[in-house]
Amino acid sequence: MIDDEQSGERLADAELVARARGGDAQALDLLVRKYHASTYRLALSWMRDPDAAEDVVQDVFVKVFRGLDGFRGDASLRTWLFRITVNEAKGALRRVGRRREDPMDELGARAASGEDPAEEALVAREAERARAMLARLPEKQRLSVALRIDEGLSFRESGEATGSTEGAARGNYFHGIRRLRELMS
Amino acid sequence: MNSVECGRVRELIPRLARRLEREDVARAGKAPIRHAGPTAQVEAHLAACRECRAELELARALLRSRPPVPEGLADRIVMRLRQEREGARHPAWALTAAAIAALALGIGLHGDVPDPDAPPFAQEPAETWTWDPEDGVVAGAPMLDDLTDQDLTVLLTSLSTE
Repeated sequence: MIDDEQSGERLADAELVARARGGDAQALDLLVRKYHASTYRLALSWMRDPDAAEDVVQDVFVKVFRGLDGFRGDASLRTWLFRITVNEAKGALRRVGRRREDPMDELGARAASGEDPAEEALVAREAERARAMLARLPEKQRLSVALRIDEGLSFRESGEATGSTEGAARGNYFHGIRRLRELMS
Repeated sequence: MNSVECGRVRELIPRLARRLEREDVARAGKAPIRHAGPTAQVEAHLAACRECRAELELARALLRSRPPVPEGLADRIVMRLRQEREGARHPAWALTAAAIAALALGIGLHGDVPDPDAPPFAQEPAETWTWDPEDGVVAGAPMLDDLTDQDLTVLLTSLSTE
C-alpha cells in the first residue's frame, strides 16, 4: 500500500537522484543524511557489531554513488538502498566467515519518555529485552520485523528489499511477531 | 474479538506505534504534536482487544530500543563520497603521472640547491658527475659491440695497464 506520504517521499527522492546524477554533490549529501540512520540500523541487525555495520553502510553509499545511473526508479530509493544493504551485509558476513554472536543488549536502548523514573526504567528494560529477543529470531523473520517496525516499510517494500515477495514478507513478519511475543512472555 | 477487525488493526500497528512514539518524544520535548492519535474505531478496538494491545506495546518497545546511530556517521560517509568523486574526476593513473611530474619538477628545482639553513654536516656536496664514455658500461653508454677494433685495442691496453 502506497500512501500519500510514501508517494511524496518517492517524488522527493527521484528529484534528489536526478540532481545527484547530474553531479550535484549537495543532492548526494542530502540523500546520505536522509537515509544513513535507517541503513545503519539495518546493517547492524545483520552484522551485530557497530564498527562492522558502519563499514557496510559506507560501502553501501559508495555503491549507490557509483550505481546511480543504473537506478531505474521502479522501486523506491529506500527499497533499493535496503536491498544493497542486505547484499553488502551478507557479503561482509561471508568474508568474516561467521555471524557475530555478541548480544544486541549492549547496544543500548533509547531512554523512555515517561516522567516516573522507576516506570521509565521498567519501560526501557522491556524495550531492551524486546530488542534482544528480536536478535534471536530466524533471519527472515528478524529482517521483516525490523524493516516493518524500525523503518516503516510496507510489506511490498520489505519484499523488494529482501529479494522476496510481498506475501513472504507478510508471512515472515507475522510469524516473527508471534514468536517474539512468545519469547517475551 | 472479531478476527477481521484484529487483522485490520494489526496491519496498522507499526504505523500507529511510530505515531505514538513521535507523540511521546514531542511531549517530552514540549514540542507541538503534529499527528492525530488513532481513530476512535481503532482506539475502541485496542481498548477491548488484549492481543492487539500487546502487539502494539511490543512494536513500541522495539521502536524505543532502536540502536543509536554513531555520531558523525553521515559526515564520514559524505567525506568518503567526496573522495570517491575526486577519484572519479582524477583517476589513479592521472594522479600517479601528476605525482611523478611533480617529483621530477621538484628534483629539477631543488635537487642541486643546498639548504642554506641546514648545518654544514647535513649538507651534501652538489652532484657534479657527468658521463664520460670511458667510464665503462652505464645506461646509454656505448656498448663493446659498438667499438671499432682500434677502440677495443685502446680499451684493452688501458685496462691491462691499470
